[in-house]
Amino acid sequence: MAVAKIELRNVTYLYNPGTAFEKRALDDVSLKIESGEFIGVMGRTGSGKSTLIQHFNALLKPTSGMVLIDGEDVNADKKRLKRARQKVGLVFQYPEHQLFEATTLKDVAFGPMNMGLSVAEANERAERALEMTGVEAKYYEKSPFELSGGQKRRVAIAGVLAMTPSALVLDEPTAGLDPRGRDSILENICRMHREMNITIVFVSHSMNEIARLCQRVVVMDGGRELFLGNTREAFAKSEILERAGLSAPQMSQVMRKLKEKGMDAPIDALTSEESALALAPMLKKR
Amino acid sequence: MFNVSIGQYYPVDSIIHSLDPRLKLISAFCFFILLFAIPNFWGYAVAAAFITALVIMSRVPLSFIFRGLRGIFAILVFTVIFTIFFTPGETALLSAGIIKITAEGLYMAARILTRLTLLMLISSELTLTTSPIQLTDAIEFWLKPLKKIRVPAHEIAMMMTIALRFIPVLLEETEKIIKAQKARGADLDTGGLIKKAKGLTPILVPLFVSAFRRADDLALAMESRCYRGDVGRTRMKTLAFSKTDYIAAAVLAGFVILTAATFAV
Repeated sequence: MAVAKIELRNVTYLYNPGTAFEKRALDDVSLKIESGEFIGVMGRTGSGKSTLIQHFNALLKPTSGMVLIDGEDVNADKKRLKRARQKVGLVFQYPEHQLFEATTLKDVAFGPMNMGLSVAEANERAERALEMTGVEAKYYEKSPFELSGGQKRRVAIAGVLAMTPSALVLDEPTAGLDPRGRDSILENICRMHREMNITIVFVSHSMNEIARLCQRVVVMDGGRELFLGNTREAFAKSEILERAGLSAPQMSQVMRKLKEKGMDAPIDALTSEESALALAPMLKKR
Repeated sequence: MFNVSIGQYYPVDSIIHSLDPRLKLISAFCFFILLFAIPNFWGYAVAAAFITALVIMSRVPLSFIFRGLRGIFAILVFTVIFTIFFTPGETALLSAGIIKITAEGLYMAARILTRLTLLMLISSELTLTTSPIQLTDAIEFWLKPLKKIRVPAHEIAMMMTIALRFIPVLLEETEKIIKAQKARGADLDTGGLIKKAKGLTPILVPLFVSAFRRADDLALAMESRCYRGDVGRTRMKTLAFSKTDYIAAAVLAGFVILTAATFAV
């Protein structure tokens, strides 16, 4: 499976252009998402995150600028647009609200069927996707509306995954789930990234999740891209986070406080494991 | 696709906007009846002058008012043509076979055209200057007497308010669902009528589910705020007649008398 490379060149997007309600949602954004990476998108509400990710699979057409997937302009013609939607799977916030079929399997097979596959092939892909997202086989013939909240969300994610995209964009995939459901969905996403080698674009409000999962991050603020680079770097630069109206993940905050107290704590540590490893020798010396 | 302005309220600050919605509603109602009672062109002239004054005072752009007219344009044309050709009369101006245009027909058509245009103008003047919430308040007020014969006035008004309140929410939801299904490769634009209709299932089912979910949530939220219908309920904004309202009511009464006077001409 080819791995998608997503590139935005000077993308500007206006809502209701030319009217009194004109709003600049994206302002000259240029960025490149490399094949196979796990990249986070953060920013406060209204910073343009949702508008940004809808450009990745051509749901929105830039007012000016260009969106390229694997070097192809996605808005050039209908064929390329369709291919872009297959290559880049977009999972919206609360994706379980889009379920509609009589059975779970049929719902997940909706995407593959739209791609023009036979029923048998579509079902096969659906089963594979459901297996990948951790939905047990006993639910396949049940109505998706009978499932629990967490299960519904898995089914909905599977519905996008079944189109065998080479990049998956997830808009707050853990919103509204309990800690257990959250962890297991995140684990599944990591597994997709690892085993299927797909590019993951992960939008989240949770700094802790981003710190734990993403190699690089895009920080959005007021429709502009404030920062694009290493996650570690982003969290170490408190002024970037502050400007974007975000707070550093808990671990960075604790480390910074320790440093203020005179301890040589690693302020760029992202996870508790990492900081524990760095702090342990210091504590032993005492 | 979804830029529908429901209720087409046009928010500007004008005398007409600030009038009591109850007065505006009952005036519009009187006007409707009056328009059907007017027997001659003098009456229409007075009515047209009155409406022109209203439109000017309301400070709503003319383009906005005529946008509403566009919607009933087809009906207007159809009615007028129908009346011209199918009104029986003695003074035939033109006849070819069964098609006959009479003076009476033309007169009728002109009357219907004026009447419908004025009706349309007065009703859009009402909705353009009165927010949907104000309008439902007014409807509730005028339905109150009907409570004696067990018409649930408050419930009807509440239902209307909620329905109006949720139109934008549902439109937004629809847009979101369409996008989500498009992301799954749904093709909504091509194909014949049957294919298009079938393509609606993935949108309508989630939409209904979400509408029911919202209804449930809203019911729960209302109950937890102790909503129990009309009895003992007070209002946050009580409607009260101001000086302008009394003057407006007097003007309206004067207009009704004036129009009635033209009946005798």
